[in-house]
Amino acid sequence: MRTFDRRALALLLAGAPLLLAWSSGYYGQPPPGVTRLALGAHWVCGWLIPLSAAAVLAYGTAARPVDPRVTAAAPRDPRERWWLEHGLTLASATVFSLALTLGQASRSAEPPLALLIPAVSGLVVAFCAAQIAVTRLRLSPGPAAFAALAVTALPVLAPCLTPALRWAAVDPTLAAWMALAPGTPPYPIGPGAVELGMVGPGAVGWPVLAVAAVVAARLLPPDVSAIPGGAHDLD
Amino acid sequence: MIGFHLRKAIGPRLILALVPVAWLTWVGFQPVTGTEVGDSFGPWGLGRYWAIIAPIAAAAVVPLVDAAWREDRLRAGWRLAAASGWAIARDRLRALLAGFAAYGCVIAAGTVFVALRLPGPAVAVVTVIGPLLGGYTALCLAYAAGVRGGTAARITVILLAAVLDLANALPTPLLSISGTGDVAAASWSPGFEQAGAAPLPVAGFLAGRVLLAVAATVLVMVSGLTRPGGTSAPAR
Amino acid sequence: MTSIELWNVSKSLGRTLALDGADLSFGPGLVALLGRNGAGKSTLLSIMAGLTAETSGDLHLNGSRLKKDRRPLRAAATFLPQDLRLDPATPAAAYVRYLLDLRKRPDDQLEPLLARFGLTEAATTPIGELSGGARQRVALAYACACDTPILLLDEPTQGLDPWERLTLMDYLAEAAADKLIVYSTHIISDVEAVAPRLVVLDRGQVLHDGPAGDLAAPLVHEVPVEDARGLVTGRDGLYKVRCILDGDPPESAKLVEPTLTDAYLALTR
Repeated sequence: MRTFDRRALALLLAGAPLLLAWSSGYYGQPPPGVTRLALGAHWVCGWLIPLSAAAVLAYGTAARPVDPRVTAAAPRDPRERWWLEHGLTLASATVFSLALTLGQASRSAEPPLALLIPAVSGLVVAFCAAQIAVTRLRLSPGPAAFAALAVTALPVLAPCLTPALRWAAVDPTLAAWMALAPGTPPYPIGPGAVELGMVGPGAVGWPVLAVAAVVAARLLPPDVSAIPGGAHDLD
Repeated sequence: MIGFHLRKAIGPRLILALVPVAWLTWVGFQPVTGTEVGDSFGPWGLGRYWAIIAPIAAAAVVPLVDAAWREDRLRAGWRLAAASGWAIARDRLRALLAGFAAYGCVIAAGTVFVALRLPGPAVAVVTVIGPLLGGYTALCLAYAAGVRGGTAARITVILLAAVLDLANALPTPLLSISGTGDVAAASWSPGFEQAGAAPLPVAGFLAGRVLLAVAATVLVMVSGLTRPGGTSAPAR
Repeated sequence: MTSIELWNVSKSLGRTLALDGADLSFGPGLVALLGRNGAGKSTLLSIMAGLTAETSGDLHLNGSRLKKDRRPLRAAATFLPQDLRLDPATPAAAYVRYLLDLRKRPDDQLEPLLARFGLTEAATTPIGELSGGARQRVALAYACACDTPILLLDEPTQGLDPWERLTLMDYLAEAAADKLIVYSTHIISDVEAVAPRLVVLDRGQVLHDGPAGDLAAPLVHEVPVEDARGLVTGRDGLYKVRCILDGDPPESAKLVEPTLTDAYLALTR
């Protein structure tokens, strides 16, 4: 019995030109001392992987072949069961992402850890965003993909584009390079402020926040019957 | 009738579409931050601003008007009304225009903000001809793809167009949603790089855009011809 | 023996009060639920299935008050919605087996039930290729195969032909010996045939709870068409209209035996 809508994989096509352009060093304006390949690798691992994962997982798991009123009656809460039901999909996404990250590391000569940390942090956020959009908010595939994409963009994209939030970047190296800071980490983020290394507070903070949101979405409300939209077309 | 389709899309979800645009607006008008707009906001900044806003607005609108564009739901109505091929084509166009109206509202809201920053003809020309015409074509392509491939195909097409536009160095002068990508920028005279100037579209570029919009409209109207309205959708 | 009690249960859906202070008590047996569209039947069934939380009031399962956690109720009940979403690509029997596995229910009763509902040949056909009636029978086979002590069916006879309805009613009458079965319907003849107890809902309120025969029988008259001006243009005065009159009946009106349909219409008009 299929539990994942394979049409969601078509969404990966959307990111394909970026993957091609970034990983081949075709696009980007790196700061002095940084290669295009290195900048592209960070874009792929810090942005593309989490955003693609969020959209594909949310879309694919929201298109349920089973009536939600039946799944709600199953012994395990749907919010917990999502992780088990889509375990294989999540594992596949993780393996694929890690392989892509390591490939980017070897191609760009960036330290693997500098790419792995943002990729894994972003993936955790993406998984959690997709899970909440599908099981707690009960969105249909299109809006679920959009919501998961928007929520994941918040930690992975926003700090890179917003100077005041640079300290919260999942990928501090990329955030610094986006501000055209030359060289390698650590980077100062302000007069007398803490310096950003390979791992910033955002790389740990955002995934922790995302997991906390999943736990909160499981506990509030404690029972699935109190989730709005639990019964459809009531008369 | 456009209103009938639009009502299906109206709701708090449309407000969500404004959130990323509002945030990008704020980002775009910050002092020099390493973003491409920066504080020397002139026609070049305006072009870059729309190159970011227009694709994201289009990409956000597609899932949000999903309910209005769902082919299976539209077909149910056409079957009930025993609609002919021409009536179906017109209704399909109305559904498309409902989504485009939502997109147009986001662009119009952004235009007001930009107009405060850069008064003059540049605002009207770039915002009307660029994002509205380019966005229309992109939404048409997405809609036509969705008739056969469903929502996933629709989102993929629009995201692909958005990515091509945002990537900026890819050959997208015709398909650029904003019409202001680096390559497409050559289609304006004077170019965006000349600060203080009011760019106007080159005649060939404008004609190409209009032709493309017309062709895309026809594509939308005939997109379901091989699957007549009487064909039953799979039972759900 | 399974029992559910609702004490002053209300449910608001936005500004609409879908259920308004319902006091009901159910034990094993067959209960029919009647009411106009929008009366609150599906809301009541959904609350009894543990799928929707009530806005106020108390619910008791087997004498124990249920708190926010409705898992015991969901484990004990199977709810068949009137528009159950089925996967069109999956064969009927495989799909029902999957649903049973999802609910951790044994599938030993599935084969006999498929046979009983005339689905043996259709068992390997993808659900999308089945007729509307066959799809409804697949849904019924799932609900019955769950074999839970509480079975809640929302308009289970829709799309069924008279023979299929008889088969279902036959099964329900048999299963009601040791189960609580509540089913909503618009077909009053189904109620007359098998349900010893009838609950009538209107605008969220319980109007009647008891045997169908206890419904207050209205005065029903047969009025010749020639005296029922404006209704029908009669040709020879032979047409007659059954009606429940508000005022005094005309002289030509004749009092007739009321039916359950008359009683229901009088109650909910």
